[in-house]
Amino acid sequence: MAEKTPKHGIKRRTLSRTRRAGRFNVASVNRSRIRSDSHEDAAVIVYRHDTHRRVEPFRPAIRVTKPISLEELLGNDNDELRAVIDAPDHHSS
Amino acid sequence: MRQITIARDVYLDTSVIVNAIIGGMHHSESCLQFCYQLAQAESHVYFSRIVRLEFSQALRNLASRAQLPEDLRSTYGLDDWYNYMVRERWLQFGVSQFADFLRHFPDVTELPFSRAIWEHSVKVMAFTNLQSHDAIHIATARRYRISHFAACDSDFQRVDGLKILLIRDGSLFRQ
Repeated sequence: MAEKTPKHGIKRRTLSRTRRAGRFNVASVNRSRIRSDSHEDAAVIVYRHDTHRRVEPFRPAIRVTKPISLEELLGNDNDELRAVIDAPDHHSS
Repeated sequence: MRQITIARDVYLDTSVIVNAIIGGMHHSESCLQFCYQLAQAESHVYFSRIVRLEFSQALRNLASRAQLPEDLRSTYGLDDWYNYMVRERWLQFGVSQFADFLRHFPDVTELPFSRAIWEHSVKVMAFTNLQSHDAIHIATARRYRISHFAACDSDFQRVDGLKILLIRDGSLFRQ
């Protein structure tokens, strides 16, 4: 399996068509489906899974006994978000 | 829940993903059923990279909540949250749940968060009065021209130019 790290820091993995047909997490750049014209396309990651399989309902292992509001659940102080905005690969030109 | 025609390409907002991964929430059942229909229809699912950020924060917040069942709390020793090992084990468990969820879809695309998207999200915030994270999802879907946008929050109905799929228990409809 060929593996390399492209210039924008996203791990890219190329698998053969045969292996793509299997149940693998495939991270690859797919420029044809994403219609954009900037270098940021390189950070798009596509995961492909076997389409010839029976789809089972997802059964979450995390289950709350009493609902919690999304606002409470997702609340944060935005430090993490600022870290993403300030990431070096988004400032390169 | 009313059945809808499943689109070929659908953007999932954080609310749909969190509701599907964390069972027992207000809209968990609808989100689970909707995602199941997407998977069966082999729709191409898109989400923003910031979902990972929001989801890990949700896991952190969830760990300190009484809403988690006692067996799960004791399995992961969550009462000892200040122990690094406890935190790591719980967060990794959550990450594996996220990965398991994605594996149900044949085609999933993770979209980047860029400065251009952020700048557009600010315009969305100004125009629609959405919160920053919500506006980033809208800006991402627009930038990559994904017309069908699934969310639990009715605030998204203020947005023009996208087909908002509101996924809520008791109702599922298209704008």
